[in-house]
Amino acid sequence: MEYRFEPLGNTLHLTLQGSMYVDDAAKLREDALASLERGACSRVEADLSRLDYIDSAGLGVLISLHKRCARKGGSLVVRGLSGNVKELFEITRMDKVFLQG
Amino acid sequence: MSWTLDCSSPEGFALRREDLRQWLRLSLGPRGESFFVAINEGVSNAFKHGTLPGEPPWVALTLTEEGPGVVATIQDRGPGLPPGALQKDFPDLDQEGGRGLPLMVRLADEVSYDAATRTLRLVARRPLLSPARDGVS
Repeated sequence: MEYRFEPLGNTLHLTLQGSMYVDDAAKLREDALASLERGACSRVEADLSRLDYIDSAGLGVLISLHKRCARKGGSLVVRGLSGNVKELFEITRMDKVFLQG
Repeated sequence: MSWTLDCSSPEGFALRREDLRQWLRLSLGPRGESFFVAINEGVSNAFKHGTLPGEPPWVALTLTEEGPGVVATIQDRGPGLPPGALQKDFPDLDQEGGRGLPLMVRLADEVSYDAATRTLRLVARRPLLSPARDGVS
């Protein structure tokens, strides 16, 4: 999986691409939380349009980011849900947690 | 046809994961991807919880085309699934973990567990073709 961060104002733009498995989760969590703190961001916009797979560990990372944002008065917004990834969000009710852009 | 994967580490499984995903797509068609999710969660859970302290990790995965579908078995050498583990619902929405097994149960057509051999058995059936929808005459 590839990921990219781009802080812009109070928002950290996160782009995920490829397949996100349990072995990617720890590093993504660490890097994303560090980027949030460095950029003094309270909001994450996650573009998942090029993500073709995410497992339960990956969902856990997004929840972790969402909770960190919420503590700062912000939230995590997901964009580009489609196909199997969208289905997984619906089954696990994660579509109720994250705002969708 | 059957497929066996003897993994001594999560990294070993990761190397074969996309082959498995492709095999399931070929065998089960569109149903293959969701069954892959179920198997991947089962294997991840086995590596996370299925190893005794001081012992090397070990998970055995087999896949067999059987009747109208695919049967997967996931065996580990850990303490075994606690009673009721397969009946658990998804955790509260703010919990970061605990979705793997409920997801696995939801995405397989049948799930059973043999505590004696510490083996999970997952079954996926191929969807029946609908003549009207699939253009079969």
